[in-house]
Order: sequence, then structure tokens, then C-alpha cells
Amino acid sequence: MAQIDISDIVISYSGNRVIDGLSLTIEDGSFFTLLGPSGCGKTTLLRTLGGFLPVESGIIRFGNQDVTRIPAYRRDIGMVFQDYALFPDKTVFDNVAYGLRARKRDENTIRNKVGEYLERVGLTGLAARRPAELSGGQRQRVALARALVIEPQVLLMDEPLSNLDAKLRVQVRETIADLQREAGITTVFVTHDQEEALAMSDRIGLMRQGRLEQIGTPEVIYGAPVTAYVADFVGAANVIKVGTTGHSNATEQLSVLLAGYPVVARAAAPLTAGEAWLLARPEEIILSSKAKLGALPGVVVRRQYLGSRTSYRVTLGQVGPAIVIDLTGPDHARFKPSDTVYVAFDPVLSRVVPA
Amino acid sequence: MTKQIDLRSVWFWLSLAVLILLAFFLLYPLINVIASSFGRARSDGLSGWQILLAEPKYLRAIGNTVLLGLAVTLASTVIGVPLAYFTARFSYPGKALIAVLPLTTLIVPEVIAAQTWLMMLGNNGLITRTIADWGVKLPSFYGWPGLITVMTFIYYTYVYIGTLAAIRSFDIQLEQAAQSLGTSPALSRFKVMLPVVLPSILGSSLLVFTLVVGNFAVATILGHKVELLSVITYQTFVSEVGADPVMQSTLASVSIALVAIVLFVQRFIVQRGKFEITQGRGAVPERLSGMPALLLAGVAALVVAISLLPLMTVIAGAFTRARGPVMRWGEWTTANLERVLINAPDPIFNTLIYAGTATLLSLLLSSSIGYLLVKKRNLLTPAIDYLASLPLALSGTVLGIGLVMSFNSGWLSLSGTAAIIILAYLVRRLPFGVRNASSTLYNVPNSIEDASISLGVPPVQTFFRVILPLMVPAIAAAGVLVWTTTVAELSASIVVYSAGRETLPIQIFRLIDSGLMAQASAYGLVLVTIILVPIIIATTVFKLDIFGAR
Repeated sequence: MAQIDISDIVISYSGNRVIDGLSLTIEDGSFFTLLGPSGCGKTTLLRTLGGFLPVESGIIRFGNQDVTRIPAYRRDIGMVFQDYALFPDKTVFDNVAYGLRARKRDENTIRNKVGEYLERVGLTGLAARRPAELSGGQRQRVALARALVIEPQVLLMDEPLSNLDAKLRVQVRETIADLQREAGITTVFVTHDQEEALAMSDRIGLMRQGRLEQIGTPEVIYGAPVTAYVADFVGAANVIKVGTTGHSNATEQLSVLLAGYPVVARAAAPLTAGEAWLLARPEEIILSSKAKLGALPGVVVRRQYLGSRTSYRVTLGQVGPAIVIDLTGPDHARFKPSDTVYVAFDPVLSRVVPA
Repeated sequence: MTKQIDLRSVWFWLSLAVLILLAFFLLYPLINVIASSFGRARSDGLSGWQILLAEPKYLRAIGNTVLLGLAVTLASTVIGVPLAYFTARFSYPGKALIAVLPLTTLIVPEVIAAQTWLMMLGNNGLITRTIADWGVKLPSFYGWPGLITVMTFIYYTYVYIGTLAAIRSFDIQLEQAAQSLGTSPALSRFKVMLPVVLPSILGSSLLVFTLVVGNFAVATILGHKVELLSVITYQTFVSEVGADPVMQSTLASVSIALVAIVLFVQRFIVQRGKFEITQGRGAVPERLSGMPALLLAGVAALVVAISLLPLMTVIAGAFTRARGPVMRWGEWTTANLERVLINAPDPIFNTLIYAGTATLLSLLLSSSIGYLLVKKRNLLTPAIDYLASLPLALSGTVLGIGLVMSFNSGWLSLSGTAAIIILAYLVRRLPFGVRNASSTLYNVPNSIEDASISLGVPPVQTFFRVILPLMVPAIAAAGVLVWTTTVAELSASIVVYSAGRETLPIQIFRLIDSGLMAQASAYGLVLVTIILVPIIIATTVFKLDIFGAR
């Protein structure tokens, strides 16, 4: 168990600098998620933490130990892979015992430890099976037990849930979260699935093109994105071009111009006069059939009934931008296409970020 | 993984070692052959290439070789493709017999095939004499008729296997789609299936062409007055030993060029014709009955019978009494076998020792190469890849000549030793070993090694603990295949061997040359046994899928 300190690392991949000067601290015992689209460098960063890719410069520390030049097999990590990476010719027991045998533990200890961890992941009784005789969810549990049984300093997980179907994903997600909390192992989890990231993490680092776009708790990442990219990647968001008239400081309330109408929102970062983005979640926008102060007129152009809510597409003003609005609550399907409606942005939740 | 030179990596040093070995024992002999073809022949100061163009004998040999290649390729395609098509798409009585076909090329060495056809249709052959007794004189089997017939019945299985695999992997839904769009079943098969399987057919046909060009056993035994490149190259070598190597090198270079061109075209066709069949839903064979079924069964039975004829003949011949070259068919004896097993067993021991050593070395080398090529690509592996498949472009004769030229003297003088025979075996069958030993590796995800390393096992130990156990079935299958093809090897070993080091194929070849068919059959039976026993053990006891790997 250890805090992970990454300072100013540079990683190159076939001549390209994939990660160029990234720093990050992951607290001891916390669950940290690297979230981002494919190709953003999250797996590269994870494999570098594991020691499978060399760094060009910079330092990686686990606790007080500088591990930058330590090869993977001496880093004391547990790693869980997207494709499980179970040894196909070995039984479940031998798979889980593999790391303990490499550490030359005596057979008695091995038997007890393997038994204990198989029980923790709910696989007692399957020790003699081979990977081919297990379901996808069971395989992922074996992989998890195999990585945890060696009680590593750091647990690294590379999209461990992406090969499972939706229902199992939620189940295994809970198993992982429970085990991590019990063991208190510092965990780095890589995913492109925002729901997974929001549900499991203590903190999320949202990556884009080799950089960390924003680091924060799930609540901050979802509720207070600092860029249009973060807002768009995590959850659905309307990203609307607006005009600003003067300088504003972060968190200050200001009025921006949307298709000629004034809209009040909060600055998420310092702004200067010119163009900016207004960020508003579909469920944060208020829709009504009567004109109100500060509400913009619009026309419903599409309506999708989704059971617990209805999703509307509304064109603002005469020829303004189209935005998506989700309504819940009683009678949420009351508007029809080509209805004239009035759209009000929440002055506290709606945010303005620099273009 | 990134392609880079990591001087701390064990795999880089292993790659370097393998590359040096291949360069020294394969590339260097090859360069020797080609380079010395540009030297001046001693007698009249002409270069080998000038003599080649000036002497009609050489040009005729090249022409004949190309002609024979085309004829055999065509004939093999004519037999192999329909056989594959009907086997894949129809079921008829006795179809299971067809399954033994891929076996026949593997278990009947070329030299035995040539020999047994002669025992039937040669001047003294059983069939020739029987028919002559009826007063009908068959045309001579030597020359073109024999060459084309025997080579076709050896090589059509390559076309058959290639085509069968392609038709089986063809998605039947494509044909159904064509029918739903309004084409008749026959037409849709022609319009939709043929274009998809055509590259495979052409690919395997061109492979046959290269095998014909390189063929030595059949060409020499049956060629008679038909001059062929491989025969002339060998004869030039035999008469030139110790003399000027220019002409043998020139002829060898021609054969290299010929094969290289065809392989290049083949690669091009196969690459271009790689269609992705996303979800292969194979066709359920259509059950035939009545006349069509009988006709098909009859044709298939005939092909199988002809393919198995060499095997039957060699067994019968081994137990048939002979006086000199005359076979006394119908008079049985065990004298031939006693003679080869008790009085003159040296070729048997030589074969077992040389082929055994070569197979073990080959497995070691080809598993290492296979692992490097599939799992540990670095800057050097593309070169290893090319070099390891280079022997496919070299006939045995050319390879043998290269080895003799390169290791005849100097600090590493191998001529006259067993080592040069083993070396010839090893190099010649290397592509075979590499392809088969690495076949299972493609299905092993890279993450398995990373998993082992993350659990605290260093890379080299990880290979032995995790990867090697997964390679074992493939290595065993490769071992059986390398063994069976090595004990049957003739064209390279006959160039490099020295007196007292005769192997079974060499001894059989010499006995055929002297017309002693009964004794040749006895050695032949031993050779077939040596080939068959490992195959039988591997497929029945260890349940290895040898032909799947092939």
C-alpha cells in the first residue's frame, strides 16, 4: 500500500511523444480512475506504472520508493487485464497461486491464501476448473483474485469490465469496489465508460491526448466540468456557443448572449470578452409552455419518449442552435413536435467556459 | 510493442544470435552460389551466363522445366479442384476414404513414388509386361508421360488441400444472398464462390509449379532424355566437384530466379485475394444418390487407388523374390527385408541419427524463431522472418550445392562429415518447422506474459513457465512433420553426402539406378514405417492435430 507520485513523466511510443510531462498524485488506499476515449494515453500511462513501458524522463514513486527504473516483475503490482489473461493450461487454483509460488511461499500458506481469496471473489468450489470452463464473469473474478492474493502495493486495472455484458458489469463492478475498500490497496483503474468511472472512483482523472484535462471527485467532474470537452465526455451536455461582453473571474455569475437573448450563468474559469461555451446538462434546463422572465422562446423539433423521462430537441429563437432537454416528473411527455416552448437555463448549474 | 533496439533485452540478443546463424548457414551459401555464377569459367574465359546462352542444352533444360511445370500444375489443378469441390459440397458413398489423401504425399517419399510407378509401368514393369503378354505394346513411360503422370499424382494433393480449405471457409450465406437477388444456384456459385476461392486455387497451383522446378527424385529417375534444370544442375555439380563451380552456380541461380519469380507472383495473388469472410457458415454437404453418386464415388475411388498405389507396390515389392532386376511377382520372400535389416542396415541407422539430430535442432531453432516472430518483434525480426522462409525458394539441389561450396574448406570444413547432411536437413525444413511450431502462439494473447511478469516472474522464466507449455502441442506436431519430411529428404542430402553416409532415400535412389527394385522396395518399406510410426503415435496416442497444423 502506497501513495503513487508521478512527476513530469515523458513517454514515447514508436517515436511519438504520447505523454509529455504529466504529473499526478494518487493518495494511499484510494481508487483512482483514468477516464478517456481510446487513444488518449490512459492505457499507456497504466502500463508505464506497471513497468511494461519505459519512461523517457520523469520519476514514478510508490510510497518512498523510486520505481522508475525497476522492472515490472519487481514492482510488486497486481494487474488485471481487459482480456483476463488467465493461463489457459492451468487450473483456477494454479492461476491464483502463480504469484505466491513466484514468491516462494510454502504450499500450506499458498493453499490457505488461495482459498481465502477464492472465497472473497465468490469462486469457492471452482478451484479445479480451467479457464475455458468458466463464464466471462467468473474469469474476471479469477483474474482479480490472482492480482489481489499477492497483496500488492498497487493494483492496476485495464478496462477489466469491457468484455462483460451489461448486467455482469454492474455485478463485477461492485465486487471490485468492495474488495478494494476492504483491502485498502491504492488502485488505478482505466476505463472509457463514464458510468463506471462515476460509480467506482474516489477521484477521476479525465485524459485527453496524453494530458489530464481535469482531476476531481466524480461529483466535481460531472457537476463542475472546467472545459467543454469534460462536460461532453462525462454525461450528456449541451455545448452552446455564446458571446461574452467583458472579463469575468472563475465562479462569478455573468450574463452571456445566446442567439441574441441574455442568459445568466456561472463562469467555470476566467473569461475575456468574445466567444465562449455555455454548458448545460439536458436535465438542468427548464421547459415550460408560458413565457417567463429570462426564458428563451423555441420550437420542439423532435420528441423521444424514454419511459422515466422524455427527451426533447428544441430549436432556440428563430434560427438558433438546437439543444437537448430531458424532462422528468409528472406529465413529462406533454410537449409535442412544433409546439412553441420557453427554455430557461439554471443560473447556478449552467456554466460558461472559454472557447 | 514498439519496435526498438533494447540492448538490455534478452530477446534482442537471442534475435541477433539467430540472425547470425541464419546469415552464416543460409544467406552466405546462397550468396556464394549467385556470386560465383558471375565468375569466369576456366576453360574459355566465358562467364557462366554467356555459356548458358550459347549452349542449346541449357536453354532446352530451362524450357523443358517450365513446360513440365506448367503441365503438372495444370494437371494437378484439373484433378485437385473438382475433387475438393465435390468433397466439400456433396456427400456420396465412400467419401471418408478421401480423407486419407493428404496423408499420401506425406508418407510416400517422392523417390518411392517414382520407383513404384516404374515397377508398374517401366520397361520391366508389371503392367507393361502383362499388357505386352496380351500383344499390346505400351509407349515408353520414361520421359514426358512418366514425368507428368508421377508428378501430378504427387502434387495434386497440394491443390486439393488448398482448395478444400478455401471452399470450406466460404460463407454459404453469400451464395444464398446471390440466389435471393435472382441468380440461379449454379450461376451464383460460379459468380460468388469462384472469385473468392480463386486466389487460394492459384496460390496452391503456383506452389506446385515451384515444387516441380525443384523436384530432383522423379526428374532424375524418369526424365531419361528429357533435359531438366534440376537434373542438369546436379550432373554438372557431380562432374565438376573440385573443378570450376561456375556452371553449377549459374544453373542453380536460374532455378532460384525461376522459383523466386513464381513465389513472388504467388504471394501477390494470395495477398490481393485475401477476402475477409466474416462469419464462415460452411455449407452442409448435399447428399447425392443414384448415378451421380456412383459416378462420383467411382472417380474418387480411382484417385485414391492411384494415390495409394505406391504404398501397395512398395509393400508387395519388399516381399517379392527378385533375380537381379527381374521381379518374380507372386513369389513371396522375406529375403529382401532380412538383407536390409541384418546385412546392410547402415542407411537405416544413418537416417535415424541424422534426421533425429536435425529434427531436435530444428525444433529448438524453429520454436525460438517462432516465438521471436510472433511475440517479440524488434528491428531484427523482419530479417529473421525473410531468412527463415528463404529455403522455400531454394530447391534441395541448390541448397546442397551452396553448402558444399561454402563449407568445403576453410576454418569450418564440413565436407565429408555427418554435420553437413544434418545442416542441409535443418536448413531445408526450417520454414516448415517455424510455421508449425509457432501456430498456437497467435492465439496466445500478449497479456498472458504481462500477467506473469506482473506477478513477479522475470521475462525469461515467464517464457518457460507460461508460454512454452502452451507451445508444446504445436512443437510436437512440428516435430512429427519435420521428422517425416526429413527422413524422406533426397535432393539436398545426395549433393552433400559422402561414401558411407548413405541415407535411406539415397540408398533407394542408387538401387533404383541399378535396377534393383526388390531391395529398393525393402528399404522403401522401412522408410515408410519410419515415417508412419510417429504419425500414428502422435495422432492416436497424443491426439495431435497434425494435418490441421499443416
